[in-house]
Amino acid sequence: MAAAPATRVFQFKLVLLGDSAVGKSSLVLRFVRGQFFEYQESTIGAAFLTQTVALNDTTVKFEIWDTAGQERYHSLAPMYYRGAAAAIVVYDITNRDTFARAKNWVKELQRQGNPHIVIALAGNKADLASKRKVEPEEAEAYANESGIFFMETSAKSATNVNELFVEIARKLPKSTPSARPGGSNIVIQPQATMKKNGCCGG
Amino acid sequence: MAAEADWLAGSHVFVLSNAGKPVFSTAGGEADLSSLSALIGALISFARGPSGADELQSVEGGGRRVVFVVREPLYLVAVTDAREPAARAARCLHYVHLSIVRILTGSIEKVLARDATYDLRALLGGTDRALRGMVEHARSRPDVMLDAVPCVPLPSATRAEFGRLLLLVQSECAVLFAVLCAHGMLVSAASPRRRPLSAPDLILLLSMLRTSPSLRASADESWVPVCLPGFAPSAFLHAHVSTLDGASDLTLLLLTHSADGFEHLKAARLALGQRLSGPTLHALRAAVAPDAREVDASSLGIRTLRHFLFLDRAASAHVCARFPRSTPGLATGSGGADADADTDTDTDTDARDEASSLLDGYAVLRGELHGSTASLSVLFVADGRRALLGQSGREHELYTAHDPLCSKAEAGAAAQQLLRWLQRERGMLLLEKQLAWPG
Repeated sequence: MAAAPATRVFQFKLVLLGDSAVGKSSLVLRFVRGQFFEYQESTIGAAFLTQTVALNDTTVKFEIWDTAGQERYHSLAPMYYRGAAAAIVVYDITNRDTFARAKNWVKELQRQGNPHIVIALAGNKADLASKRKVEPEEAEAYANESGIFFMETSAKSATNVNELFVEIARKLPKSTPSARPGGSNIVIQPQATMKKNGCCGG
Repeated sequence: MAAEADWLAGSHVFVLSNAGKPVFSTAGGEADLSSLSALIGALISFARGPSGADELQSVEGGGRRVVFVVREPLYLVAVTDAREPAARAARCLHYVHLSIVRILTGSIEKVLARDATYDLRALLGGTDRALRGMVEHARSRPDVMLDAVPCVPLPSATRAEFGRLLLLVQSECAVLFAVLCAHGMLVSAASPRRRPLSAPDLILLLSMLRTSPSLRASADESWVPVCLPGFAPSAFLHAHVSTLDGASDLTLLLLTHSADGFEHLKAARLALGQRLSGPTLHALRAAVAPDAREVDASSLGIRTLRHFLFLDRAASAHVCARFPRSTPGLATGSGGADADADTDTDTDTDARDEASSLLDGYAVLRGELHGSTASLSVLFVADGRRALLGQSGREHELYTAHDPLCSKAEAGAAAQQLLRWLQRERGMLLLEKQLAWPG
């Protein structure tokens, strides 16, 4: 797959983390295939999908790891977030426990993940506002103090789903064009020389 | 309580920890099991006796049967219709246990040894469908009863081509096992020379694919930890799962020791997919068409033959003819066992009951053939509904169902004719041998 000559292609590994049934797979399927299923089967292990996002002058190809949220997979999570350039930590706005678990994931990523990882906090199921248990102000405040960014999303109504991935694509540092599309994430590790979380101006 | 009434009808499977904690229930509402767990615990300690041997035990009464299987630290209990042979229910429980190990490894023992009151349901979250699927499969298909897998019937040249493709994988990277399957049936498999995949491990892998639609519906590729109890009961392997051809449901599983092996296996899968030729796929698609993937016993032109089940010991594979939708028996009311079936007019239920009832019949024959001290090798039973013949040899077992008025001699002749056909078509009907990695 050759990139158009004018466009530089970057490839990034992105991982989704969060409690079971918060909508990680639904977000990914909405983003990658434009689909939504009212009853989405539990993911087992982790699902791997790819999708590209076109920015003004660059194309970002995401290698997406959609992980299973069940407790038994927790110990395997480092296998998926190791080397990830970006992470989406998802909670369900109608379930406070999932927000608490999301904070734990953010902590774990900041402690053990890639030091330059771009973390997005997604409050999913925004279409269920009447059952809301987590206020966006609270999540926003938490995101600000943790140095990550926050969006409420709805995989069901497609609200903020593309926006979420585009925002991540913008925030990712881009210096080394992908030499080997389809290859491993090793090609484009964010380097220490990059300015941190820069180029938001897209 | 409504749930209690439910236990008196249908079949149910319960799993409890040895501390009496509910782990799984097909009746739903595992929490309600707490009230039963003391009773079940007492029954189990009584049934096991002073020797403590993990032998199958069963209690029967009022047309119901309760079967216990102990796999420390878990107790597995089946409540079934008394007409279902106890051995079948026990096989089902055995495979429910293997499924739990497949999901969690044998480390459950350690977890519960540390904290006997630990709630295993937290670890089993989201696996309800997988465990229920195994129970349903054990009831409706012969895999679990026979410890054998079904194979896609394929022309020998096509199966050989799939084998060649699998062997290419090994040159790419250190794959431990590679399995190709479609519609829950085996197409081909490759394994280390001295460590072929055991039939139970294959049954567990096929079950995982069948009961995890997300593996195929929502992912291009999946990377899944899986424990194969027959290979290494205390460790996870990592499985790369991908669909190679949607039209034929051709799915590739590549298993490795290495948690970091995804990129290698991804590359291997890509290489294999590129070498998959049109004619090979075409042959596979034809073979898995609904009317082609199972043998229709009535199409073989063998007099009196209605259905058969063949076990090939060397291949650990079985050939199960398509279950007839219903069996035209003799006059109704000819046997007590028919009373319930006759009142049921739903054809789907009829077909399922027919499958289950035939498998029950075969299981009884199998129990007699295996249990007898005399070297019994042929057994014939007939009731108003059908005549059944079972024969057990060194290389195979064959169970056949015939018209109800068929004599033993006629059934025997039909079975011999069928056996010749099965032996002639063996290479088409099943994967005769797993391929071994070169070197």
